[in-house]
Amino acid sequence: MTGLDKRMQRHLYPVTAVMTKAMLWMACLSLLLMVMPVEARQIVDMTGRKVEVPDRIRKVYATSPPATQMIYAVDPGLLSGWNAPLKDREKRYLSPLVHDLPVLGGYFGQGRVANIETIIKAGPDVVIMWVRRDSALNRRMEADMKKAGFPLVFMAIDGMADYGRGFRFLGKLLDREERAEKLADYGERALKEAAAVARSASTRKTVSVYYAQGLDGLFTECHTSRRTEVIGLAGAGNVCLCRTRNDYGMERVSMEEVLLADPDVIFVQERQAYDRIRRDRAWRRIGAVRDGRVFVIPKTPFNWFDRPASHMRYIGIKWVMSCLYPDLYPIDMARETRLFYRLFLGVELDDAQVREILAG
Amino acid sequence: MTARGMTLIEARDVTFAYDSRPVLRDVSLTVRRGEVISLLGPNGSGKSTLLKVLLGLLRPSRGSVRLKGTEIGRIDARAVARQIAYVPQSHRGAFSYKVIDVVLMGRLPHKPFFFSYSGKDRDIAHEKMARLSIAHLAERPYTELSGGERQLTLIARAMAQGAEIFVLDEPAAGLDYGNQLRLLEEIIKLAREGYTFIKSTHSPEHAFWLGDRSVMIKEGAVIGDGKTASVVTNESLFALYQARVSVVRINGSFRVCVPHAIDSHTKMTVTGEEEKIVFLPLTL
Amino acid sequence: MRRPAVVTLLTILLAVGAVVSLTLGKYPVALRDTLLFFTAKVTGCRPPAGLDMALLENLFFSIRLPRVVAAILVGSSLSVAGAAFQAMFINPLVSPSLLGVLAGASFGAALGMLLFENWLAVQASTFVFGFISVLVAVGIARMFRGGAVLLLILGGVISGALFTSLLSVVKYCADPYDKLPAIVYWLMGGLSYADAGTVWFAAVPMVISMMLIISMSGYLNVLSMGDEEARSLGIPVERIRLVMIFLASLVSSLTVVIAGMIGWVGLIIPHITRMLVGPDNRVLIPSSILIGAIYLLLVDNLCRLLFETEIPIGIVTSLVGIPFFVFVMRRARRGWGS
Repeated sequence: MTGLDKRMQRHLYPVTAVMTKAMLWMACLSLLLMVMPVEARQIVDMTGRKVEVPDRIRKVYATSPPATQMIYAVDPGLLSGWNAPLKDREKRYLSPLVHDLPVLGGYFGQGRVANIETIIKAGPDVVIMWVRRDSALNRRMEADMKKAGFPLVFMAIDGMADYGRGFRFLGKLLDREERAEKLADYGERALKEAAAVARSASTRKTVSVYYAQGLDGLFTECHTSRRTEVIGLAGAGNVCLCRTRNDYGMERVSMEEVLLADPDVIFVQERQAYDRIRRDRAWRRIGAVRDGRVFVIPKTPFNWFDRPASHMRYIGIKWVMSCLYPDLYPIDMARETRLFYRLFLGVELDDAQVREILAG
Repeated sequence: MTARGMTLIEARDVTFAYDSRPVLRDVSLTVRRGEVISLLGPNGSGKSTLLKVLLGLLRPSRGSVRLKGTEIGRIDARAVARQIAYVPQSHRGAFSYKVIDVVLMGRLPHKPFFFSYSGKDRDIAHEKMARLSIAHLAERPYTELSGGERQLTLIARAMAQGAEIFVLDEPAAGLDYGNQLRLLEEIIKLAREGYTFIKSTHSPEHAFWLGDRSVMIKEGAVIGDGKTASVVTNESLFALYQARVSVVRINGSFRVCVPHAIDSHTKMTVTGEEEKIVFLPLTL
Repeated sequence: MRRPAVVTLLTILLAVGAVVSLTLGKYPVALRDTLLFFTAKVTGCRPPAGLDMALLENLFFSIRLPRVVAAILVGSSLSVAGAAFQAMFINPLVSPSLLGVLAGASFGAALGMLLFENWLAVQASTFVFGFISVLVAVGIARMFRGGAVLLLILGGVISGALFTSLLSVVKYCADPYDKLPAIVYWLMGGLSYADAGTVWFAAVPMVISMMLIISMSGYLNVLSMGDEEARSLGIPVERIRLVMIFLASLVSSLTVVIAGMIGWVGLIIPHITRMLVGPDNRVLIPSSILIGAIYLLLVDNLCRLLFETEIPIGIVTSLVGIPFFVFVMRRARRGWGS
């Protein structure tokens, strides 16, 4: 017994030790696996990527304002932060839930780049990335978000017709399908209305539109730009015929070119520019100014037309058409504004507020 | 009309300090009309500072400088400029103004604030240039002149100022040998016409050749002031420059300095006494 | 005498240039119509029917004329400020931005755009901060004694750097959707920003300042010989320098108010002018004014006519100015003591 036992003991002991260790590890692991939450699901995002996201999404961070606005519309309580600080004027028309949300920045071209640690601190369950054509920025965003371990969902919206799909996608992702359906429905009806009006207006001479940006009103967008999509959908024509250089836009034009183009209608972003256009001698000869068809774009709390180009254009296009074809489209803009704000922004507006919004 | 020998500038107990560093200590100096004063002293002794104090460009921290009896600080700068002219070391200058324009600058103390030069100004400028035999340089760029010509231009400017006192800051520095001698000749000629000169120099020989008076200044204090012959001696030169030099008189009153170190191999015993030396004729 | 001849010639050239510039523009007007319009205006006769007088009046007097005047004012101001500074600081690398005035004015403009809605307030802010930056530069120089000119340059570098950093802060705080782009585009500079009201209003102080600088141009000659020499000639050096700095800063600030930041003009034009007419400031200063005006007229015409969209003027001033500078440098060797 002694000799064999000793030899056996020498060999047997290490083997058993290893085996015991392995079994202990496996037990621990299985215990861990049983305790860990496995409530995840796989979705396909708008670009076709498969992404694993938590079952219940409580907080969302979107990397650029159009997406943030859409999520707000679906449910303001889902937002984990804004891309840029809110102005007081804007807060009045937004749910109190979002007044004190942190500013997380975003990736949309100029300034306010996201600080990844702030985003981690805000703790969103999912990050929604608004995908544009410029992909260099996309790669950077992806890398940053992956490092932080956030599930990254891409949203790709090409034009106003896509917002319906976008809302429905968000509805499914965020478990707000009914709500999203209402929003998408409004949008699709708005676009149908626009198409109808544009058809009846097509028998007339196309209305020429100049879109005035910048403090002096001499910045605009080319007719090929997605930003001025509303103009085309409304059956009018952008006087600036050129090719957009980049997504950002802001093409510079000279006073003489505007004079030459002689637009019928001018839509202005900045109040300052609006005052200047109405007052300046140089603008006086232009048809739109002579006929008093210069309009300031409403932008509280979100811009109805552009900068950013968002789903607010659902009401934006109605407003544009009411300016372009007051006879063909005799809509009660105040009533419609109230309706839209009730539905999409969850605020009740009184007369004074409606007036303020429509005055730009 | 000032009589010869009248006190023009009187500096009394002048102390001047840059921040806390004293540059001049209790310097007193009287300048009389027609004098040619050589200011000798090593670098950093305060020569330039003293000249600028006498010009009224720097204000002493203690003591006073009077120009014809009045505190120089109280006289209008242009009035001072009409009496004392500053001739700095000729620099190349950044801009190539014409020589005539440089000389014309001397007329500024006589012009109102919004000025333009008149025909009379030009005549005066030309006259002074002719006097110094540089009239032919009038249209040339100042920066293309030789060092000697530039120095003469600045002297012409000083003359155009109408000043009777000239303060020159090491005018011979940077000039070649010939031009140095020519400059001294001009100064002597002008002195005979009644101008007063205060000239700082590194060369004791120049002091001798200009004659008159010398002031030795070391570390901000005057260590000698009087007739050049009695002030500039072997001992005082050693005290000033730490240079072993013998002052040698030749043919009566002409003095030269003979440095010991360089002359060590000749057997000439230099005692400062008169040596009779025959001048070799100059065959040209 | 050289002076009247050159200056007269340049004045004529400028007048011709201005008139030609008025006839150029993206809005096509037949030469015949232009002539008829101006004839009618000048003689007061009835213009022929079919000529849209109101349109042409708007085009020439409300759109083109302010721009031409702005180009002349900005070009001449920047050139004269550069020439004066180059003489005062005896340094060929000096430009009007030396004491930080352009950096300060840009900051003022950006701050104004950030805080105010009223354009007048923005312009006031631009102007005021242009001056404040110069005061900072002079203040820094005065804190230390001795070496006046060198310390002014140092003070200017510090002041310029300070306001450039503050500008970055403003840009960071600006809303990225409307304020920031507005600021960025403004800072790129351009005569298309010039509106008639501002131009006519700024013209008065600018012209007066330039006249004053011309009248004191003789002093620049003396100052450039050296402070002590100048003072020994009875010149109140400090006072004249301060007045010159004040006037140069005034006109430089106003150029930013009119047209944003335009660089290279104040540095290059004085050099070119000096090479053509020599260093005597009594000729150089008025010539710089005229050559600067002609230059910017030319450049602005290129900017607004060459391509479909307007080219930022800073690009053209450097692309045109630098080779031209090299070209002139080879032809005339006058100027910097060489």
